[in-house]
Amino acid sequence: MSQAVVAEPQRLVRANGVHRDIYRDPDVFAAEMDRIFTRTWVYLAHESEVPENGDYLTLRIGLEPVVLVRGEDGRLRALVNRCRHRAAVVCEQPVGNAKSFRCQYHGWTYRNTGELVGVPYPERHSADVRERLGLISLPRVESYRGLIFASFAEDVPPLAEHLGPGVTGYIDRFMDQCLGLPLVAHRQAHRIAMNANWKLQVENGLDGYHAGFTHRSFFDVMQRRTGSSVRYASSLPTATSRAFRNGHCAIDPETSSRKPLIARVRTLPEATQRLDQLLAEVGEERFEDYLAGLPGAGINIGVFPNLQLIGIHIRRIEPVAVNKTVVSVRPLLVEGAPESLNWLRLRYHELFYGPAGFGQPDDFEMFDRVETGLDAAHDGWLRFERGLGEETPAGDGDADTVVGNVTDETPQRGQYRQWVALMAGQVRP
Amino acid sequence: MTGAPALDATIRLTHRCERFLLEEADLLDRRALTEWLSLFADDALYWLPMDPAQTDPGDGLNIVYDDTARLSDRVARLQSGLAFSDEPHSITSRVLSGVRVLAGEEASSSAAGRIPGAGEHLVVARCLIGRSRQGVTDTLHGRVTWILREDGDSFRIVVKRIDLLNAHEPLPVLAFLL
Ligand code: FES
Ligand SMILES: [Fe+2]
Repeated sequence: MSQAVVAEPQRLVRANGVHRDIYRDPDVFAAEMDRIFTRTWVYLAHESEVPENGDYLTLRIGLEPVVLVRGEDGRLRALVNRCRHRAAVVCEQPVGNAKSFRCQYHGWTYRNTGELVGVPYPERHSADVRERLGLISLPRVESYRGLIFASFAEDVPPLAEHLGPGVTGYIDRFMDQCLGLPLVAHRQAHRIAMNANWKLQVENGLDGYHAGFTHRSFFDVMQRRTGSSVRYASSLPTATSRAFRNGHCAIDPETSSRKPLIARVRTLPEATQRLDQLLAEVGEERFEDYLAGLPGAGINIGVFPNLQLIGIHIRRIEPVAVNKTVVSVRPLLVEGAPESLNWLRLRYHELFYGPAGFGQPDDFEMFDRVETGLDAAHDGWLRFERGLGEETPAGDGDADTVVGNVTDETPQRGQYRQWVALMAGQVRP
Repeated sequence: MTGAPALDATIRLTHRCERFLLEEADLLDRRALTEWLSLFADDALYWLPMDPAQTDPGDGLNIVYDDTARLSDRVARLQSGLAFSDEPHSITSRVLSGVRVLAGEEASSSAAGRIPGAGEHLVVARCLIGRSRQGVTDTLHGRVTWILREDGDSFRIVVKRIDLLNAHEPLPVLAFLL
């Protein structure tokens, strides 16, 4: 039965919901790895993670092992991390710097630009072995605001066009969150293993409906510490959710006041001392501006399929199996800002995120609970119907963008429109 | 210099520390969290780094970096019934082994994120935490470092640092207290 469904993904997605099989069926997962992760732009890393020639990091695009490397020529390449001889990975380290990658099985050596330059005892190989068997280099690698994407498919539109003006406007806001100063990725990221399907994280990162419930304990703790009872601004009529072209989306609580977030900063370890340092370094006039940007831009952005920009971090969603996913959460620091500011940014991030934060673990618990509930086969549908039929066009320069209330399931409907289009092979070009 | 009286003192101190730490582990296994929290000094640090080489919690991204106030928040959250990631609770069973009170130069290292002061001891041990929740039993392996401050005939915890064996790998949710 699953093979038939994979042939017709439209049967699994309706305007107002999705079928449980999309989270459970291993054939659907295998089809996703092929039709989504090797057909569209996929997020890899931030440029500041590979600043120098030879800098590399290893990761996966879908299930494919890849080395993202800045070659001797300064160019970024995504190379398939697999020896062209008999398949051993050529790079085992998570990050590093190398002029070349040597496969230790039989000693073939590749430049960090991918060319095969060394084959031991070459006389027993055909003369053209070096020309034929360089590492496979993904045909497309492009960046937007430091975010590096790659595609296995040569014929995808340029990245900027794929993203479109809607989501790039939000990415710009996110990247300019601290006085427009450049952001750099922290060398460490929280990585959390979830025993659930990757799309549960895709939906949840843009879910403006859940915070007051899933994260109630967080808001309670903060209320006790700060005296103010501000929750997620879900009732403001000006707070929006948006679905842009190609499954990208955002939620924007549009809170005018940064006060409650800054009150949280004052509860961090060593906060008084570090805030005094910041004040002394930047002066009274700039102090408030720095503080305003400290907790991030206050928006959540989703770039389909695997990137989210939330708070001060970059979130990369890494599917592992139909019911296994790793979520990487990497904070961004402000380049050129006082050390005290970046110190506080990391503490602010740790408060909510990571395997033992006061927020993120409760999202992961909900993924577990959904996975258990999915055992109920009698009601096969999950409902994404909040605000359906009440969305309005955005006027953001992209005819595809629709806007709903922040608690609406507008982002998720957009994500699943793109999911079904990719799975059915209907996406441009 | 290392005559019998000095050896006696070392053995006595190690024994006192070990007794205290076994009781600490037992409070956690019994989920007596308020009592457990009362073992900590007012200026305490409860710390789970990601990098075993780190000697200052401010020098990197941590899994947990709690001062005493934040640790109280953590306990309050777990006791509220609304920390869903630990509802129902984890049930744990801890094994502490190889408890050593460091002496000499080692005793004044910043391995715990601070340098022990007068009347404080730097103590290390290996820990195995068996944890059962929602039909899954798993095991966490760690190296634990404490700074214990003399307090009457007992101690206060000034620092508890846990270096998980797999801190650099993707981790499961760790909402419960280690
Ligand atoms: S598999 Fe790489 S050299 Fe043989
Ligand atoms: Fe959440």
